[in-house]
Amino acid sequence: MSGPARLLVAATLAGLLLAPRAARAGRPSETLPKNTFLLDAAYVHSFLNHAYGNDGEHTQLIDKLYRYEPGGGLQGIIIPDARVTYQLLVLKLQYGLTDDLSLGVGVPVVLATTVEPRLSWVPGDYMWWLGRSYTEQDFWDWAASMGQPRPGTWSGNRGALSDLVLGARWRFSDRIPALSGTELRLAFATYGVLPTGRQKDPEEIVATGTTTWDLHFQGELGFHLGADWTVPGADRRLTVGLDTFYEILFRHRYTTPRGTIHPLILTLAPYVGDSYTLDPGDFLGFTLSFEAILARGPVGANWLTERVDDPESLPPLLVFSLGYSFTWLFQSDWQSQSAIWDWSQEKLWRPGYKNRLTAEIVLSLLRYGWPLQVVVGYSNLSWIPGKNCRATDTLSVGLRAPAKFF
Amino acid sequence: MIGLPSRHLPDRLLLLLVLLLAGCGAAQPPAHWEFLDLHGTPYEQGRIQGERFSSRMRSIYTQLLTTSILPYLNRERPSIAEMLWTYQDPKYDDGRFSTLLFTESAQNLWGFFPAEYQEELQGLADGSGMPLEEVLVLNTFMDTLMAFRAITYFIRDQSSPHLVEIEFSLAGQDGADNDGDGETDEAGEGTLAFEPDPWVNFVEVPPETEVSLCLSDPDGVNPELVRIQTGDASFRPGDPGLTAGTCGSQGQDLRVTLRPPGGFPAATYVSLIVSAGDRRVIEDPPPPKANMAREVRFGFSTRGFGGKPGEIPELSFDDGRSQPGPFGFAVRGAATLDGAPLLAHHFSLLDSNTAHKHTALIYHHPASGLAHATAGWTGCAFGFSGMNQAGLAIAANPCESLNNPLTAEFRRDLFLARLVSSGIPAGILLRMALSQASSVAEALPILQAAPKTFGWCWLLADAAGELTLLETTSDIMQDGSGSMVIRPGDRDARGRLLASAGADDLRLNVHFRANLSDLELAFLGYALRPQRYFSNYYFRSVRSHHLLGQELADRLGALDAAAAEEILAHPSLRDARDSMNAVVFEPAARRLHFAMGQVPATDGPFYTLDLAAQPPEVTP
Repeated sequence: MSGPARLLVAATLAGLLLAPRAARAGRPSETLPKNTFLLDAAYVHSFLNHAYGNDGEHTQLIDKLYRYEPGGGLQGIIIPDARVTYQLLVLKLQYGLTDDLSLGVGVPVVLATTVEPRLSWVPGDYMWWLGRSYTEQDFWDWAASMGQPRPGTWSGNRGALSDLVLGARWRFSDRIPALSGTELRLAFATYGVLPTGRQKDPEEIVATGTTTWDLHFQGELGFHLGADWTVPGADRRLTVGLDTFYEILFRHRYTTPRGTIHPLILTLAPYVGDSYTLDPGDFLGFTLSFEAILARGPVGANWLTERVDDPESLPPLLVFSLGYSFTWLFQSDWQSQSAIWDWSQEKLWRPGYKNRLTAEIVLSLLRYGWPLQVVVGYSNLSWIPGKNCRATDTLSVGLRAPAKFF
Repeated sequence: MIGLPSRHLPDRLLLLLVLLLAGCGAAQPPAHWEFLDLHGTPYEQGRIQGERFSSRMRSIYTQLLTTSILPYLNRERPSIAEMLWTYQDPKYDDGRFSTLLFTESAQNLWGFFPAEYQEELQGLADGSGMPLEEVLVLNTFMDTLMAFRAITYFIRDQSSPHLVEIEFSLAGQDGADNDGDGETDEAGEGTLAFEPDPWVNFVEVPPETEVSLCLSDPDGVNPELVRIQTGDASFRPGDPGLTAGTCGSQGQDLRVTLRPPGGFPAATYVSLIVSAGDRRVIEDPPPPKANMAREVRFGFSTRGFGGKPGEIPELSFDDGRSQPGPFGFAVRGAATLDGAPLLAHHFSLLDSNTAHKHTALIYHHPASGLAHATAGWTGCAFGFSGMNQAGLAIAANPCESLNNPLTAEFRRDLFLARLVSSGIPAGILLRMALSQASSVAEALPILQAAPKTFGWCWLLADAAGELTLLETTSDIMQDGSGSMVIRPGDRDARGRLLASAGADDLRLNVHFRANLSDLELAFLGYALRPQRYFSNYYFRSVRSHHLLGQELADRLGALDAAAAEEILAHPSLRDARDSMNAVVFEPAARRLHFAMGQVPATDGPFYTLDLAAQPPEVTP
């Protein structure tokens, strides 16, 4: 190992010693100690195969396609029971500017996206000249004769950057004397994204992009007001948190498909216009969380504990948290040259809500001398029905490493 | 790409508060119909429409033509090019066949447009920003399509199975005059050549009879594709009750014999629907299929039902598959509640989940001529129904006929013919009549004299209570048979009412009632025959005609606008999938009621436009 490299490692390890508290960053009011870094790398596997409609019903991600034969009635209904899988690597770096103010940057990288259209078919009207209703094979033979291919599984977005996230959290309760010495903490957080994500290829019918809108996990500019309270007694093992938020998704401009790949389905530009804009609608909601320390773990003698003034302040060995989020989704607003087309899109993104359940378990090894945490999380939108939302479930596995260099 | 925040944060927060209070502002669907009150020169009226409807003109053009009809018709090129060599030219390659077909036809039709309508179309193009060529196609494609479709049905009919003979096994020994020829059980009484007809021509058959059908096709009839449907059952060869054998002079044809288990019900009108396909498999255009014949219907009565041949309407039954097609009726005097005339029309043809989103009621005030309102579509200068300020109301239906300009082209240029339409497009002709005529008497010569693009049936009513049904074709033989007039109470040679239930009503469907020989022409080995022998609409229209007649007969004397709206919405009468608009005209009151913007059109409310009111206003 070269000299500079050894210095870097030594500095990193030294820094880790001084940043024990940073590893507990899940609470609404949590900030990093001054001059502390927290590097968080997580693999996120997201899967999605249904949505909730306007009546809260279980529905497909892509609207049914009713296909008509000119003057011959309904050929049939194509039901795309699409399944979307995202694989992401989410890198986050947070920094404690002061003890009560932390800054952060998030770099989500989409490793791969797969969209399986899984088309099924409901036969339509009887066609006398065919002697039957269109079968699925009949229909796609017919469509192919008009230049319309059957959409197949789409894979893409390999290594594509999503929108970068910049954020800050300020625990302002530290400045409120009345709260001093209590177990209640209050914080304000904000974040914004940089538009580094990729829009989907407009000509692909089942493709998806990597922008914040595509991921639909959060807004592009968010404001959070959070509080958490550690329940006295019970060995201070239980903390309850409440986070309220308002998140904004901005209007963007998109290129209208011209039907170069799907001439029967996606020839929109002649009447929609060469481009259109979309304001997806904002998010408003709250998150209720419960964090329990399952095991504090022993504070043994090791190189790390020996360098910490209060080894008991190191993160507990095992922490489990549960959360519930309610997010109100505002009406989307599509603007093109065609009010009819705008409505055809807006009706899929009408006001609604989603109910998210989250669970996370954090295994912290700092007390054993390893400056590392293993985090496993699960987020679920499909168990509690929502309205006009996609029911994405995600599983994430990550590592966190706190560090302090100066 | 990211835009600036569409609203500043304070605005958003304010909006948030408002939305929370207002239920969060869900988007609402746009209206699918528009109303325009137009004044000015024809060009100005067109320009105003173009500016207002620009987006909808583009979307109806794209969705109905570019992504639906045009690619669909491209698939017909191989069979057309086989017969008409002009279409083997490479310029029709690469999906250009249908576009060129419509464009060439439209360009030819342009010369038939009176100048003021040419100016209006130019205004539509300038106002919307669409090329005039596309606006012209939008305003002529229905006329071209109708004639083109008749040609393709004819071609298909040439090579598909035909029901040639029907035999009732016990009719020759039942002691009854089943065929109404005045003789009983004469030789061959149980056998008759199949003839499409609106009336039942074989009666009082023993219920236990077998019915044998001889089906003929040059490629052989495929028994697996034969299906005989009765009102309550469906049979295929091999099913109990239906057997297959041979017929024809050489035994080359397929005979299917039906005797339902237990026989036919006694004292009943029985109707059969026959489907058949041949043994040839057509691969191009996909999907692979046999040559399927149009479904034919015929009925008979069983012993005890009563009635003579030609007296029982061929009502058939709801097959659960087909739709009845456009229809209309006009009533007056004793037929209506207040004696005032009414004309009602439910037009259906081609929706494809598109047309209903682009409907428009246009009130034209020509610089010279009578103001008139038409029910149509955005970007279309025409409509298939309308009424003018004098109270003249007209509705038009296509009445499928090979007596059309495309056949004339074929007859003139044979294999080098081009499928180019000619004549004044029907919807434009309707407007011409409304603009120039104050009464039925004045309108008839206009409609009769104009060159037609196809077979069209017209229903007219005026404020004085004059009612007329006019059947027209393109009269390509120039034998004067291109126009036939039917008035309330008119009867055929056998004394049956042609299109009325009484003396004060007329009904409009899509089959000819008077013009039963719209074209009979043989050349180049082809036999071009009247409508009833090839039209896929024919039997459905006959059923609709009788059902409508019964409905009107039940309501004679009690009909008003509300009753007319009910009839237009009747599930047995209206086309549930290609309905396009529904109107009720009150000529004496200069008032019209319309429903459009959904499928079927009558699933939505009727709105009212009072032509006499100033300014005109649409009210629920």
